[in-house]
Amino acid sequence: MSDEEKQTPSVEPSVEKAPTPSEKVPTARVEVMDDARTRALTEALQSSFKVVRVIMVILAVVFLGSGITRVENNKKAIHLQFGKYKEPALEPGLVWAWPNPIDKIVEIQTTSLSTNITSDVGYRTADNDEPQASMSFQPTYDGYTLSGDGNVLHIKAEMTFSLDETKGGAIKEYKFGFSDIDLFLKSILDNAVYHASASRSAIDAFTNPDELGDAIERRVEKTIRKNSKDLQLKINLTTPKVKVPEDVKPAFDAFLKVQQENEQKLATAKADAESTKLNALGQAKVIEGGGQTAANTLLTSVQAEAKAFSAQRSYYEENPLLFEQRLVAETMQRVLTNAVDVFYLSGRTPRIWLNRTPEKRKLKEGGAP
Amino acid sequence: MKKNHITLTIGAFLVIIFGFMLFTFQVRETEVAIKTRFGKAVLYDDLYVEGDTLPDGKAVGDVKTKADIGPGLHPRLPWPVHDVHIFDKRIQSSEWAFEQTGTRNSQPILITVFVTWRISEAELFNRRHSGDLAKADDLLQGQVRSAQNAVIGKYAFNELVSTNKDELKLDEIEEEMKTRVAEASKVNGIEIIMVGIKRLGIPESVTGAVFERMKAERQAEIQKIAAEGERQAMEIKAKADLEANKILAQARAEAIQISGEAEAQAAKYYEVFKQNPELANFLFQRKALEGLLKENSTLILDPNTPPFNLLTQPDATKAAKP
Repeated sequence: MSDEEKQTPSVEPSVEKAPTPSEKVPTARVEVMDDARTRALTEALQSSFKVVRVIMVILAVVFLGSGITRVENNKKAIHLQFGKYKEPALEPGLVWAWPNPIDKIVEIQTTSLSTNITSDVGYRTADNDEPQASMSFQPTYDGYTLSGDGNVLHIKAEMTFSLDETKGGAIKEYKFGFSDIDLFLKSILDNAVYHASASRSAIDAFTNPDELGDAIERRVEKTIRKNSKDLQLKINLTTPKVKVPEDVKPAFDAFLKVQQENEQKLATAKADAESTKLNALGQAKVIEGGGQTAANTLLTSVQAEAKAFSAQRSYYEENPLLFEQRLVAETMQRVLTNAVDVFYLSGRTPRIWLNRTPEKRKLKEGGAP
Repeated sequence: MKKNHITLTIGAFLVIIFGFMLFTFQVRETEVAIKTRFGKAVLYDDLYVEGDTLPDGKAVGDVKTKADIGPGLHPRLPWPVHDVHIFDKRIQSSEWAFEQTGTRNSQPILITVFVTWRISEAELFNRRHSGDLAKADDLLQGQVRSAQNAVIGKYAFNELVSTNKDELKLDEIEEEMKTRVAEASKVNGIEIIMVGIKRLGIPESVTGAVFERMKAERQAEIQKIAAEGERQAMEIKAKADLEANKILAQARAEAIQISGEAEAQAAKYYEVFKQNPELANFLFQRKALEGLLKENSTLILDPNTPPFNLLTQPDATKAAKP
């Protein structure tokens, strides 16, 4: 028997009969075990019970209070009861649940997940982050990927992701669906890089990394859906880094230079073509305008002649010879006035009539007058 | 009496907690469990739901017998009657080292494959792997290696990498590998979700030759592009000239048409001249003469031409009078 057990029978009656603090029992009326030791023990036990009671209350409060969780603004929370997911996902704010092990609140950051997933199996070497110059590649050391035309390339792709907050299932799947979500995403990113590079030529991947990035992103999204319909992630893939092996870089640079020159040549040809077309359109307008002017002139002229004819006919019919002579004289006057030189022959001596306004001499280009 | 009440409450509380611990167990959302009675799995009746792998002759809603226990609080009897085994039911990703294999045309290639999988039947998984994920991973490695060698050996290199979409068989290759691995893993209580190629390489001895080929290809491409650029530029210019000529021809046709229409409109005025053709003829000739000798002309005239006849025949005008 332990000391405690031995003491218990003697202590309990005294506890039951122990006076309350308000009662003042005369010491003389206590007939059994009223010695100082017993009283001290009784008081000690009373104090202990009070302390235990207070501790229990505190523990109960702490226990219940530990169920309060503050869900931050950029997070959502999942409520698990006996380990089972309870719909719906909890919004930011103060939430309360029974403390562990009954309930559990798991917080998840939904926006701007800081995890950066990188695929560099086709880029880095075993020792360096950047590809190194080499006459040949050792597969287990050098990182590279194969392009659709059987060439080798270095491709590095990076992506971040965020959860679709509107889908409670997505949050649950993200948190509980995968043993290592980062490893899973890295594997499918590597797979997407391989698929994208294996289906296009090295020069396409090298000169158009944006398009390569789109193909990688599409593949990543497709593969995520294939693995889990509930995992709704918004993928943000940055433009992949594409490099050709150092040894073949000069050949690629020369190719790009020719390509640029070619583009320039085509741009010039297009500009010339546009100019030719615009000139032709301008000339066409001039031709059409000239035709219209000639037509107007003809009509106006014929109309005027017809009017003049009608006006002159009566004079002509009255004396045709005189009419003709008058008009001939008028015509000769105008013709001779405009003529530069007029020669008329009188007998054997030709006579000359010099025009009144000498012709202006044109200056030869660069010459003296 | 009051103190006994408190003691009893505490005691009862402790008994409840102890009872809970002894007669229940919790399975978390990430886990699946099985319960064994004296070492033998306890089976339950459940219904097939959407997403379950349905055996032959079974449909969604049919009764299935299963040992798997999902998340939540579940009853049990204390050991040694019941024993509970809990497993991770999340999707696992496994991948292994770069391994060499050969294509249909005996071309050596290096390949890394990854697999995503999860426990589909916990009881089977427990029996085969003693619930050990690492053991399962080891077994999978062998199955994947076997599948990859068998499948890659059926395809040519240009079906693994190609710019021709019809030629490229990547999805087909991955799907075939998955089917093979899934078939082998099913009996181990494992569901294969995806098998994907993570990396493909060629032996080191080949890469040097690839570099040389890449250089030669670029050189050939340079010549091709330069010639093609020249051709395109000439084509653009020729097209523009053609278009310009077409525009001008159309404009000329338009001008001729306008002129013709004007001639047709003018015809009605010509009717007037029929009233006195001699006068009309005289006027037309006079107009033509005036037009011809309009400017910068040199005239050589007979002295009898009016008005020069006045110089040689002063009486001509008088004589001309009646």
